[in-house]
Amino acid sequence: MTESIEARAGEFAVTFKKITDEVGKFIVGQHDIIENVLIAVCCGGHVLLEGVPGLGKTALVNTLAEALDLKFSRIQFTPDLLPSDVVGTQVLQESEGHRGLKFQPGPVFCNILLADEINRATPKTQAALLETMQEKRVTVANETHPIGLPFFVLATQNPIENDGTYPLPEAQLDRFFFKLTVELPNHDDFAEILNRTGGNTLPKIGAVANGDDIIKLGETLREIPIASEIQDHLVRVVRNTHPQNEKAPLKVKTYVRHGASPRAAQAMLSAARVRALLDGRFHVAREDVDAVAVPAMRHRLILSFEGEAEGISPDELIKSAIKSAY
Amino acid sequence: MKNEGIQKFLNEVTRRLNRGLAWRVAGWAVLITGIVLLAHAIIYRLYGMEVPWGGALVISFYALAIGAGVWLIRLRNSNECALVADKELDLKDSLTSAMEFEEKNSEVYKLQLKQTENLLSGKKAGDLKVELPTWSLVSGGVLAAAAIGLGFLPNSEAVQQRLDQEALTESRSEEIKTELEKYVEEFIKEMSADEKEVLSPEELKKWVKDLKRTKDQKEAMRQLARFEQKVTEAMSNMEARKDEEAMKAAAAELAKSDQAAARQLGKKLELKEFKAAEEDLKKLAEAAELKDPGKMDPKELEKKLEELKKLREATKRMANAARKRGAGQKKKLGNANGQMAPGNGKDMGQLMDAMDADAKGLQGEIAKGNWKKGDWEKGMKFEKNFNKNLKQFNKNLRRMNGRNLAKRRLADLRAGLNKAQRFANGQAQALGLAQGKRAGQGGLKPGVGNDRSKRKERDESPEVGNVASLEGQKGVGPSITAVEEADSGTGISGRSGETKAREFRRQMESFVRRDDVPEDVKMGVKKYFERVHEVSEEK
Repeated sequence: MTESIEARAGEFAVTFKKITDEVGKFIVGQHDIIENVLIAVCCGGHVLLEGVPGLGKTALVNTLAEALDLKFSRIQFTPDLLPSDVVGTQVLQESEGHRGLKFQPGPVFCNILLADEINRATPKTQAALLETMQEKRVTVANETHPIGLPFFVLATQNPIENDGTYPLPEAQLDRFFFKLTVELPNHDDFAEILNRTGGNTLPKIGAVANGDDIIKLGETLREIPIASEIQDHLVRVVRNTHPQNEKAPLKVKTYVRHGASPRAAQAMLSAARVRALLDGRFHVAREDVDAVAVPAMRHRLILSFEGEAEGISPDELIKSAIKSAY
Repeated sequence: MKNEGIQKFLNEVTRRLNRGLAWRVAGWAVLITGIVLLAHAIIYRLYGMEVPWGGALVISFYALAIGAGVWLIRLRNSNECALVADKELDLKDSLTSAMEFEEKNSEVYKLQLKQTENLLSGKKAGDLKVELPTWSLVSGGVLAAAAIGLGFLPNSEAVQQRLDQEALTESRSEEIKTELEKYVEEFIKEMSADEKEVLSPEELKKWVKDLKRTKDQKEAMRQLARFEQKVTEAMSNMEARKDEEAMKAAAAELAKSDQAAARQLGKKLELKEFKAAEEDLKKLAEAAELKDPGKMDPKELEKKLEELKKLREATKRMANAARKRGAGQKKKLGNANGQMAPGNGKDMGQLMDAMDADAKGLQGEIAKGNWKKGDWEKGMKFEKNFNKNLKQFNKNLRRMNGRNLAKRRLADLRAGLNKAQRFANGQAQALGLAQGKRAGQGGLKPGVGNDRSKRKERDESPEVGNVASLEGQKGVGPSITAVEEADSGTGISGRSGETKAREFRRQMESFVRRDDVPEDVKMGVKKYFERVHEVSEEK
């Protein structure tokens, strides 16, 4: 890596913009969602997209896969989906007169995996994704099969149709870098969606980056330094989501059972670095930390009974934790 | 390596922020000072008092000192100033990061410093808002001015009167103490050895020392009342009325004697001239002393026997008087409060009885006329016992004399205290204790004489001064009869007499503690009741 950091930082911003623009050709609005998905991709993290049907979650992932020139797979999660349907299985094959078991890779052997409606699969099948997401490898019949890098899982789930769903366990939720909530587009964006998709032709998406570019982006962002004062701020924000912490706000103490993990702090640091680079800075600022705190921690807070009963939003709790960190 | 541009900017920011902090702290200090000064002034004015400037100065000084202390404690360091500048100037934590990255050499840090420097080139420390705390400064100033305005108002009439009264009381309490000290010093100088034996001069000094300078008139009066109580207690401890009664009875009996010496002795006892009586008795005993009658000239012996007869007449009369007082009375005398407790355990009546018995025995032995060594031993024994009892009797007489004198002096002191109480109470304009004490003494200037005759002794007769009321007590009124009956042993009426006496004492105490009664009247009432108790106890 002989290129100067200044040049690589410049390249980072350019590449990021190219991808954003390309995705933006098809996806109308949703700039924050697109940016946050790309931030997670640059950091090598997985994203959980939550939103009602028809908001373009699957379309976003499909478009991103096209723009990144990466191997893309999609699994539509259903209650009868088996773990072997996800990770692959051994099949009996005859080769040169010999019959033997041979590993047949599942759809996870790709660069971008779209796990559509992940909460419809049984916990057993959801758990099959666990090792894959964290370790980026699959073990079948005592044989481990690595998955090529980069590897991202972009999962979607529907928050309103709860019948016949299996909420993701906390351990699995913690493995998602970001949880993004896809909101209903505004009036203008709605009209634009109709304009773009109502005709005979759809916008053509071209590949503007590849796997190596993504890995390179990850390497660049990790060189961005963070001052200890800012890092302390980040730690304070995360610790303030814990009700046991003395300085945690009253809301957190009342409505939270378990706060965010150190993995959340790692995710926030990486994401804040990306934001700093995108802003053309060579240092992380507190505003970067604050901006990524909500998507990085909203799925990592476990609400107390009172919190669940009163329908408290984790976003609100995280904002109060940020406020009390100053 | 430190970046000069960044450092310079940071120093400017630090100075500016700390200056702003100083203004804010000063604003709060002025406001709080104004509030406290006004509250201080209002509190004093509510009580109608002049506002003490000293308190206002102390409050202002403390407010300034606390303000300076708060400023020093909250003085911002460069890190804090960097954080504030990042926030206020929208530097996105560039300054904070740059401060930490200054010492690092990696390319990315240098880039950050350069970026920060470029960013700061478009900014000025002066862009940081430092607002003058106009509102708090003006409000504090207005409140302080109002407090100063209130400070110029004088004391209300009532307060001024009270303060004047306090000052007067203080000066009077001081004057009373000084005068009493002088008075007691003179008192002690004039005390005889007999008096000092019964009344400790150190205790007297301590009573005066216990008086404290006070602004509170009631406290001054309380102190004097306590002093007076001690004097009264001491006076009551000087009481030896039952011994005196025994002496009085002896005097009455001696007055019936046909012997001039016995009558003379009786007269002295009646007049309570115990010292003179002691001298007379001593002379009588010395004149009658038989050292070795065997070797005596018959004429001398006859003379001695004649003297012994006189002595026997005196002792016989005194013993008769003692016997008349009765055995029950004797017992009472022995247990009475403040009575003499002679060394050999005999009271005055018993001593008189014993002396007479010895004198009678001696006379009997002399009548036998056996002067031989073995036979006269019995006579010698009687004489020895007589002398021993006489010595004790005389000693008791001296003590009674000392008590009487001390009691008179204490009465003078109490009268002085009464004057002091009137003076402390504002009923008299001058104290003049020492003057009063000297009034009857010291005589005229050298070379100037007068022809006035003056009695040395006081007349203790209850009739003096208040004849009507005291006659009532001493007469044949029904109350006297009731008390006599009680004492004679019916039991029930005796108790009622004691209850009545207690009731009288209580009434007197409550009366003399009243504020609305002049001190003169109180003194009169005290004396009256004391006399009543004396008379009832005598009965």
